[in-house]
Amino acid sequence: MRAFLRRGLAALLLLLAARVSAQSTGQTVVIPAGAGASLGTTVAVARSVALRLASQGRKAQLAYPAPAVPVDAKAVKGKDKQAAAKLKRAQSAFEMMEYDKVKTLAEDALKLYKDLLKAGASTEGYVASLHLLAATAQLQGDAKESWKHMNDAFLFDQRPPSKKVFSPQVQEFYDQVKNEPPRKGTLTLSSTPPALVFFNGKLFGMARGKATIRAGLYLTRFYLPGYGSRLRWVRVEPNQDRPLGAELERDESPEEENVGELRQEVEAAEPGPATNQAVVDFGAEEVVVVTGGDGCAAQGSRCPVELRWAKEARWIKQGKAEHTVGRADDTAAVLLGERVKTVVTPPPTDPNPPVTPERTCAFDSDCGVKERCKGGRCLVPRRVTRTWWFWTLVGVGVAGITAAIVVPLTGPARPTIEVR
Amino acid sequence: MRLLARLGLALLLTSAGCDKSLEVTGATQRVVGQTVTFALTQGEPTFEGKAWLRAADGVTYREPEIKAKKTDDRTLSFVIPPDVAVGAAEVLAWAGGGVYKVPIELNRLALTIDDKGVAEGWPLPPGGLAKPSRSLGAGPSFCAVTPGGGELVVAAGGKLLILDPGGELKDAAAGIILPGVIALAAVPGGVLAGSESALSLIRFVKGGATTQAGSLTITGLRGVAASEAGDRAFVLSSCDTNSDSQADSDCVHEVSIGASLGLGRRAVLDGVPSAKTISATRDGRGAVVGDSETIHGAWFEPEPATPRLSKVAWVVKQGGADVPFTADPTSIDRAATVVKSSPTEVRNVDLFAVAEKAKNAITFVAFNPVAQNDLQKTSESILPEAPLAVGYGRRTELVVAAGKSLYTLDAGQSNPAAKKLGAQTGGNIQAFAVQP
Repeated sequence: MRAFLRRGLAALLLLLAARVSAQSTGQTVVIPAGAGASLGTTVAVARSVALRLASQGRKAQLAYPAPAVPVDAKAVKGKDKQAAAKLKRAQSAFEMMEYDKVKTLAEDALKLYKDLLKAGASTEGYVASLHLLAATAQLQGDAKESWKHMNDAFLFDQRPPSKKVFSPQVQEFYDQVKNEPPRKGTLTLSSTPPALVFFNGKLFGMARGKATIRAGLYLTRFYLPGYGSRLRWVRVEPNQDRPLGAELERDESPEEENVGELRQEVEAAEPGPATNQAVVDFGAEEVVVVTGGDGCAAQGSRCPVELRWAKEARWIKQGKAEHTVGRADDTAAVLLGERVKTVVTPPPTDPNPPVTPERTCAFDSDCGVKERCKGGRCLVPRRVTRTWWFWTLVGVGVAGITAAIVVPLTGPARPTIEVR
Repeated sequence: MRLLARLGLALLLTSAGCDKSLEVTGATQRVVGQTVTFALTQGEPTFEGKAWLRAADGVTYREPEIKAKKTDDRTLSFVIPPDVAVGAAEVLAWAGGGVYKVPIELNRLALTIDDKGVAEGWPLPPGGLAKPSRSLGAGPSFCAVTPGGGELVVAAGGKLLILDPGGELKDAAAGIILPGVIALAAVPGGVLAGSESALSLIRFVKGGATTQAGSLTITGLRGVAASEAGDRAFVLSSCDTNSDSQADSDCVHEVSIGASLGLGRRAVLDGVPSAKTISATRDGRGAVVGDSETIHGAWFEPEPATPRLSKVAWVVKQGGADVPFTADPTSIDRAATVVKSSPTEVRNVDLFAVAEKAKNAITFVAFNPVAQNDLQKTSESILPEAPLAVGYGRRTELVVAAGKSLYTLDAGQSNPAAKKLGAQTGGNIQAFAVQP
């Protein structure tokens, strides 16, 4: 009977595990939402949280809803139309198989689009130009150029080339570039004051130390609330290290409204619109927000940090920790409710240790009444009620049963969509 | 006690694993071209009207592409677009500042009518839809699918029927009496039906009436093909070029489609009236005809230019040399996407697949008249049995009907190998179409 129950329970747990893993295939974004001086601390902790989650097999990514770069109208003026005209002509030339013409026109368009992006304009022409150049170079047998352009396009936007314009061969080439193990290069980062650094719109972290990333062309952005952004195109060369720094100037640019709202929602009983917005903006299923308490400064030795994890419009996890500068990974572990790996210092050796008489045995009958023969030695078995996990499981069981009974009775009617 | 603890943990995991925020009921297996309606039968928040479809390949189709429409706060509908990847998809429906994520399964059907008069829809892999089926009565039949994939037009037993492929092949619009049909070409919201002596334009409204909007007299009609937009068509006929009342050539007639039909220029292909199959380019500026000695290309440049002709001869290898042979082409179709024209070149060309019975072969030809490189044979695949009809599904996915079986090939590959599908019809297939 007991074996039967065990087998049944194992099957149930397996089914549940499969179901849970099937549902957790989506993206999890970790957002550092520290205000002012605590931003750097929350970035470091959020980065460690994202790395920890990634190491557990989740699709976790560090993200920050930075405000859009203010468009430099002077720099943009007229260039968007020029670029679009060049791109259109390049596309027509591609259709007519005039590849030298495509190359000239698409390169001109690319240059204009790079200027536009650097000036804060939003455009899809940059990637379209790169796809044209990659396809043209592929047709002309220039493997190095085609790889460079397709890789640059992939780094900026991971969507494949338009299937209406490009043949399956180009799509295959895109897949090859996408799946090939990337060659990496290093950037040595610095900024004054310490700022966030984004590569192609994705938050990397604070601009300090070294960043080893996939080689290719990046639009880098240095940003700190209250300061003007600095944008710069940087090509990361394989196996090379190059410095990348910026000095930001104060301009009282506001912090993204969403970040302030996220901080407020962390205090509320349920996630609100800012969390939902993050779900949509980052294409995520789950959002983890890391905040720092008042006075949590990067220079301080210890400061409080908090984590809240939203899934399907509910907070599903909360964690608090005292962060020690330089030990972000430990803080992340505490916030996620995991055990921290600590280095245990061995106690001083007792020069005269007490000697415990050890009795050897072959069977239980060789030992005392309350003893069992284990590994050839007589040992008193530890009662199951004395184990740490027993009462944990009891607690979880009681909580589970209570939740299973109470939640369906008290919770709001869940939305139901009928597909007709 | 331990057992209790384990059961408690199991219950906790159960509650954690459940999607408590949304329950989805109803028909989640859908097909291309079908209108899907979401009804929020319980709970809040209500729909905002914005909806996206994220297909199995990760491509996201936004509101205009899926024609998303909010009927009221609790009802939202959209259309499954052509060219979508089949398999597990997700619909994002905006509601109250958040998003409902509704999982659905998309299917693309290959539609067959066998000689016993049974129409069936075969979901192409990896579709999981239960096969729809309907008996139409024995006799000759023809079928075509509209460019959006939402309607299957069938000519059988002297009637023209408009069926809903996603609705178990039930009537999608009223049928009409139309005897003598020997060729069909579907256009958005209508169909061109050809008989031995006339071409008719039939318009229908989904869930409503079907009417004849126009007709042209074309003697010796053999085939008809239309452009993707449904604004132009070509008719293949056995024509009389020396006014002796005897058909002496194959001709392609240019037809404009509007409120009615307009007959334009005529291209005379050769001096033997033998061709039976025709297909049009996506833009409706040219046509490719499968004939017994050659494959013809006809390019109708803007008027007043005369149509430009090109051709590729049917050949077979004998002792290392190409020797002409008499082919028996049975069907021709055009891919809905841009494809390569040779292993080393990529061009914006139309790729046609010609089914040929004498060699059991599918021959792929590229047609690129804009580049003055009109017709070029690109590759060939041999089947284990004689192909009857071909139809392109998504992009370069070609489905071939042969005997009682269906085969798939990737026309984007060079000399692609045919894979047999599990589908097996009760009788020999005589009409065939594939959803785009």
